[in-house]
Amino acid sequence: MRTERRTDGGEGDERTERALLVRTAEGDESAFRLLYDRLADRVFRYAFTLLHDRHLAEEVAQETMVIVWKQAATFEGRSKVSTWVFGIARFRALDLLRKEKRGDRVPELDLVEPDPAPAVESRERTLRAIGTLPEEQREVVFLTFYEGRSYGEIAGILGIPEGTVKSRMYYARRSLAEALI
Amino acid sequence: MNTCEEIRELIPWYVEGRLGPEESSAVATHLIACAECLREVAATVHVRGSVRDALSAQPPLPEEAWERVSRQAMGRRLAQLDVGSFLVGLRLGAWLTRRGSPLRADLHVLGREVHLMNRGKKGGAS
Repeated sequence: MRTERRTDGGEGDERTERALLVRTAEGDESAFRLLYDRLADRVFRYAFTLLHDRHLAEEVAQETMVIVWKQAATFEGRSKVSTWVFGIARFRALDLLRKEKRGDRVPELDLVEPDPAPAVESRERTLRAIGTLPEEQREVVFLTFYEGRSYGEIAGILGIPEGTVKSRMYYARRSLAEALI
Repeated sequence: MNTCEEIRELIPWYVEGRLGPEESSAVATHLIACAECLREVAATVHVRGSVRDALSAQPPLPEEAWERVSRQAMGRRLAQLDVGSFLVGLRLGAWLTRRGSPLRADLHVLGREVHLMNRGKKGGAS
């Protein structure tokens, strides 16, 4: 199945998302549903890029959106709404990755079955190439090329200097080019 | 004068159109004179296209995820009545939340959900 790419939007999107978050904080369930529709699938894809496991990525997306509902009133407005939400998702996903590294769960590369069609094969190859990157590079690749974020915004989400974002992307792009070109 | 190394660190965001005017102009000026960095741009365009294509082609978050989120976030379903067929249906439900027992009605048409009524939430009915 193919879906439309949902990227970080401009100021209009941010105004809408802030208004929806304010209404969510007041307990407005229909506003929360609209916010969910705007963010949940993007959070899911971010978590999938980090974890390479659809079930865990679903879990992260669901937990993140439940936290958004419960903690909406704590949003202080110092960043974009989506930046705040991605920060929550990142915390949950990295927690799962830490458990994986401790051996609490068996990692899996949860991709669809191999398909002879060239386009599908090429996508599988790309996903595997992304999967071989260290997770700190993987998330920068996702936030840049899928979400369309600036390096400054990524630095804000990850809580690292802009220079570190650039160098992570530099090495990630080089590895991906070697694998894909 | 920017070095090739400085320019190459910016190329992903140049390709993405997410640099400010000054940095974007510095990259463009450098590319006129540097064939090596221009090749980096071409390679980055290819990588970006592949990444976007592969990630966009992944199946989306399943619809059922919303049911689980709303149940966890907003409460426990007390009762639900589904009327209709596979193509068109009406769902009436009562939920228990920390703030009472809201009533909700949704119309389902070809798998799409349209909220008709949501009475009893914190801010009143919608």
